[in-house]
Amino acid sequence: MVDHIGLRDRNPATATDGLRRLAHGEAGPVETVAWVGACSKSGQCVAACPERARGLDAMLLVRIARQRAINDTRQILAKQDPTLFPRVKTFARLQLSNEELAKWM
Amino acid sequence: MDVNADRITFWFGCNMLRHAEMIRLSIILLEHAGYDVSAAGGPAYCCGTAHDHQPHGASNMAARTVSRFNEASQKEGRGKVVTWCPSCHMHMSDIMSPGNAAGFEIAHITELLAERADRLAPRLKVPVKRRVLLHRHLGFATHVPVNDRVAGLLARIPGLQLIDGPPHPGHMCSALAAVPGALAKAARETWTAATAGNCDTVATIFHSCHRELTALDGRDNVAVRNWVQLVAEAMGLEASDAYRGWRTGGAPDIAAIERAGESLHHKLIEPELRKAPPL
Repeated sequence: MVDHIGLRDRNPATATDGLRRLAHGEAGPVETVAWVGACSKSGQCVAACPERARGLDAMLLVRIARQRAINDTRQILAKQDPTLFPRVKTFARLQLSNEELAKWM
Repeated sequence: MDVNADRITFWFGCNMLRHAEMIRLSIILLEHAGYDVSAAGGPAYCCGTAHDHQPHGASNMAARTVSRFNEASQKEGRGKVVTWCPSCHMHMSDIMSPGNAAGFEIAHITELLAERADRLAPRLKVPVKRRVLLHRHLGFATHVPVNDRVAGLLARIPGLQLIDGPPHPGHMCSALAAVPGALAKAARETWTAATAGNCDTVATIFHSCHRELTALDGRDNVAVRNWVQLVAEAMGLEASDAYRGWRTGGAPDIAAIERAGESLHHKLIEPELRKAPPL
């Protein structure tokens, strides 16, 4: 994924240090923000993390950093789709019986 | 009521509501595997991820959903919540459950079916003569080895030849949508591997991948099917797919549109169904 977001030649130490800062609610460098913003939950960072043996779950840290970047430092624009629930409800009404709508939802 | 290991809540999530037949087939497969199933999903059972931009709102939704499952455990003896959606599963395991005193276990549908594959095997009587490429993502393997579980189930279908597709990042295709070029790359790699491997079918595991790839159904004489549809086919069960029909040029019937609301259909459904395919 580094190629998709222009991180191929960037300093990995800067990006990982930024994770700590973001997780504490401090603004992170652009490298970290690009990383956590593009996280697709592959989990490959978990095995690659040198601190794994000491119990660090890198993906969880990335997810927390991403939340901080959205909600605290505001470095990532929140993805808001007000049509999500109306759309899935409409899809449901297109296909489900009244009984299924009543029982499942 | 005492918790019974065979009584489960099948939590299918929100976006699966596009695929009613897949929900119904999942329930049938779980019942054939010996489970007493109560299904739940939609916005009333939101995991909260859709509202991550509103931490308080997301937290309230997560708490409400955990509380409903706790109630099902206490009152109905349903001590296990069985997921379909990897996003719901990961959110429940990592965030909802630790933060909300969950009184139930969590497992993925593929784990339950794989554990009881011997009960399903005698029902897989109809040969499914397809050469199938399995569309795979790496992400959910941190929680459930879903690619292996699905491959194991499909391998029991008589007549079906299975080929592993290239592994893609993310836990499902929707995770790639926000990364420029990533979704198209995954779709292109899957499709190229399918045609190069002389496959006539691409099998999806998750709904969001199915939603994207099903728009390509029929291209290069390659069909797109979800894994539950292939298992159902082998059981001789009806495995229709309304969403696939709509995504490839069809439309819901008039009565269904009137029931759902014509303006809502026009405003919310049509743009999705007429979206350009990923390739």
